[in-house]
Amino acid sequence: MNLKKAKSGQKVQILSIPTDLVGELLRLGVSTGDVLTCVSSIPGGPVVLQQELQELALGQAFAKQIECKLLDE
Amino acid sequence: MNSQALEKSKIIKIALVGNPNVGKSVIFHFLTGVYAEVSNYPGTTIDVANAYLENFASLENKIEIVDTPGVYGIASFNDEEKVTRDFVLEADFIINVVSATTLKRDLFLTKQLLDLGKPLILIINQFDEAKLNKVSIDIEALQNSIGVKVLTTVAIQAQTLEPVKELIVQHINGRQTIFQVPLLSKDLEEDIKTIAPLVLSRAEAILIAEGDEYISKKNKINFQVNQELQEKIYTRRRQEVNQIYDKIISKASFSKRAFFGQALLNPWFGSLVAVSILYFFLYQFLGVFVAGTVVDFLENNVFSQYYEPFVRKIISMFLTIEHDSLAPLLFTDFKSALGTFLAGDYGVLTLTVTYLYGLLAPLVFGFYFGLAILEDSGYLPRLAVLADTLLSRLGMNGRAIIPLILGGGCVTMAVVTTKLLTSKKEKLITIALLGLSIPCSAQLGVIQGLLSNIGGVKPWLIWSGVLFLIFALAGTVMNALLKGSCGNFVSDIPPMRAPVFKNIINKTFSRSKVFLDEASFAFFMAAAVVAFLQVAGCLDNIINFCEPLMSKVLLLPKEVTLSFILGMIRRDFGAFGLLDIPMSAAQLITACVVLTLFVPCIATVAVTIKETSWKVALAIWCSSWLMAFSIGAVLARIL
Repeated sequence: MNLKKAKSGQKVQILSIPTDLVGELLRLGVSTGDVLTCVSSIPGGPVVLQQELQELALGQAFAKQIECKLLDE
Repeated sequence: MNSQALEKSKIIKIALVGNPNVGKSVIFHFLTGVYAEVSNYPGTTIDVANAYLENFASLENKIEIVDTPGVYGIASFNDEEKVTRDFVLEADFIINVVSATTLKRDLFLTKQLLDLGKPLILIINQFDEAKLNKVSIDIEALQNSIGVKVLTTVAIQAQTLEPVKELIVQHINGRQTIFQVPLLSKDLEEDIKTIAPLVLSRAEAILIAEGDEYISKKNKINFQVNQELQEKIYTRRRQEVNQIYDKIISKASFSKRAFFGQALLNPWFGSLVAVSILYFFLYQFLGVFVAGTVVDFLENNVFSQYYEPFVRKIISMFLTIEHDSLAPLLFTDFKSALGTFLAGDYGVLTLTVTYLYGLLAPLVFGFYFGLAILEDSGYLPRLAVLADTLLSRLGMNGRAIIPLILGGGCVTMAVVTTKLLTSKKEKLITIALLGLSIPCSAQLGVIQGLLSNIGGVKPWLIWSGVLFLIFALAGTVMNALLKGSCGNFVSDIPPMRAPVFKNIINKTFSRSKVFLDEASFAFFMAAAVVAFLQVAGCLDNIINFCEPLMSKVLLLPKEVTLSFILGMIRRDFGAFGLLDIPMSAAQLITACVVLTLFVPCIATVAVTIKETSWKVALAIWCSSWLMAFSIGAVLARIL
């Protein structure tokens, strides 16, 4: 599934990031394989993710291009 | 760097470098005594601040410290990064500031600086917040893995910063070797093998390999940007950082982030809070309290009771002052012309001063005070997340909320901050919307005051509703007409923090001062022109000439003309005298809407030309006229 489909409270693992976005995300601390928690997903808007103490918002168009899988609690 | 190599009289350049919002500016302030703006949102420092290290006369070298804009890495993704990159390449020495709460992210930049071969010390700031979250960091292990001296600080507590100063001095005196230029890893050496012989430094070779076109051009190298190579270097660096990170951190428990901060990101609760803040800040605080109570007191009890009579008394010892006179005194009675010019109804010494310090100053101060609280609490990035949903439909992204809100302070300054935006289209739309629909602080304050005079929430809702509609419509149209993409929205969300009162006051004062310094001169000029027109007898002609436009089209009293003329010179002067003209509720609402939509001021136009082109500026200027008057005409008839 793509990252935009994650719902608040769900844990997801990043599977793939498109090449033109990967540089920016690597600098922000996110790489393929990382496990993130979805804090909020605004309908028609950005998705907010948490990794340890860091929170990060990704615009909808961006989030839709990132593949992830849902992890069980 | 070997400190022996330093020439005795050379100015040593130290760059403060770090991710956005980690506390660089506070550390800068501590080291230099110079106040640089501090905010709890990314992207505050757009221009660099530089100053000399304080109280170290004993050193033979002068030490210049530069506070650079926060970046996540050294590259040229946007204007901020270009600025920082240049200072990094130039610096003799780097103080790399990272946050204890986001160490995993921040160490990427640290590792990159080390790869570039820059001498540095590492400061882990916000150390108390890590402790609070029961995160423990093994400083020894970190020092050993990266080979540089690591200090921990809580920047808002000055005593924790003393060791930083000492370390800098020790380093420069050569008493302690605190840095060893790390050997280049085999892999990275391999990656820059073809570039290294063509450039001067290892730093430049690495930046070119990572795709920095500017550096390749500078060295006249025709190196095709290779995204795969960049990805390979970045991925490897990220893996190295993650390995270090896993070694030094103990994840006893990552407590959940503060509930309130996350609740603000909930679409429903967050939107409710945003609208309430807008209402309470604009209407209740700026309108009812500042524009009403404070300004009333200053105008009626201080300026018109003590200041103006005092000035008039002195002036009338030498000259005559005519009241309510629109006659061409200049050609008949020079003495009363000069007296009226100086101290008449629009006198440069009376009304101008009253207006500047009795009305403009408190409103500007009030706006920046509220804004500082919103900024320092960490609310703005959360607002950007919510706003992205709307703004991305108008061809911008959430990041544009920062210039749009700053526009409420001064549209001219806001246009300058559109530098933060990455795509051309986004920048253009933001500038156009700023010019069309965002009122600046003093005007905003007077409008809020006028609306609160009418009473009830309804006028405020009509005013804000109409503006919102115009904003959304103009944005939608531009988004459809302009080509290009609006850039990806990626934003770090800093934790909510209780604002530090001293910082709020500092920031409010320094911003208000910048604004008033600039506004004072322009306003004196504008008032001089109006006062001159009055004594030359032209003011009456102009007001009568515009009368049909006012009374037939907008159904407003002809005196409002003056507000519009002044509004063209400086937007905030557009509110000039509006408080004194008797008008009905419908007329007041119409006047408020038309004034808000009316043309951007001369300074804004100038900045717009600089940031875009004169064609864009002219288009914005002309469409403001059209928009303001056509919407005003409609509104006047339906209210």
